[in-house]
Amino acid sequence: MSETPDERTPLERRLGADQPALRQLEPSRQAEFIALLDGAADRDRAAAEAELRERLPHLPRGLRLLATATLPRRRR
Amino acid sequence: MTDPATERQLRRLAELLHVDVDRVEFLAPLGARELAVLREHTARDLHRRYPRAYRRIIRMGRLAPMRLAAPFATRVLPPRMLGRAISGGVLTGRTERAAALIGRLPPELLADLAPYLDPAIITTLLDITPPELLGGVVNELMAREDYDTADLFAAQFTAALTGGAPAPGVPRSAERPRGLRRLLPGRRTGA
Repeated sequence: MSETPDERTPLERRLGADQPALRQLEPSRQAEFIALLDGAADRDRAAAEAELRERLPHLPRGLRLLATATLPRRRR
Repeated sequence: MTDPATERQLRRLAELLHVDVDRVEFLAPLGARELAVLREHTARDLHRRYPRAYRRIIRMGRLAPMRLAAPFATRVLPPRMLGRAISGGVLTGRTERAAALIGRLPPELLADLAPYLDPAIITTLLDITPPELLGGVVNELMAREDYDTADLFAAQFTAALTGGAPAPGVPRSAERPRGLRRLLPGRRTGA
């Protein structure tokens, strides 16, 4: 039994999707979108941390300590 | 010139990726319909990654006693972080704990965090959230004109009513249904 060749683009494979319209994108554009995907979770996390840091000064001391524990330690 | 529907999809895709819209404008030739599909695939991919990005807060949520976790969630955590943490908790099968926490949150806060929930857990939320609380959340979303998020709940609720399959990737709770699902035909338990 022969396997059907996977015609999907790297972007489709990355997304685990079968979306033929994406095949009209040039490889460089697909790579650009994959790069955006790769960094998105970190940007989301950074946005959440910034939102939490904004709240810190308004919290009682006990809660502030707990909140600080959820933040990653700053590298020296 | 880009049509308004395509512009809207580009804007939503850029928001999802946390970039300016000009970073995704090269996708405009795909058109609104294909962009909407791409956005769905993108959201699914990102929600698969968030539990890793938020593992510290998810672990804290798992370990902290509920008497501390609830005030911490309501007073300290930004809605984004709380939404991701609840999604992570549900996706790892801790629905009991998520239910206990959600039951202590006001509808306004739940509406704040709803846009940050993984769509794959909405069906589970129908199981574990008291109907009156869920109704309050949807009302709040409608009052804010956040129809995209309200639509997520409506679509999953409709799928549940019509016997549609739950979103993939969510461990099903074996316990007695407690949320809106309790009211659905064929799902009632007890007298």
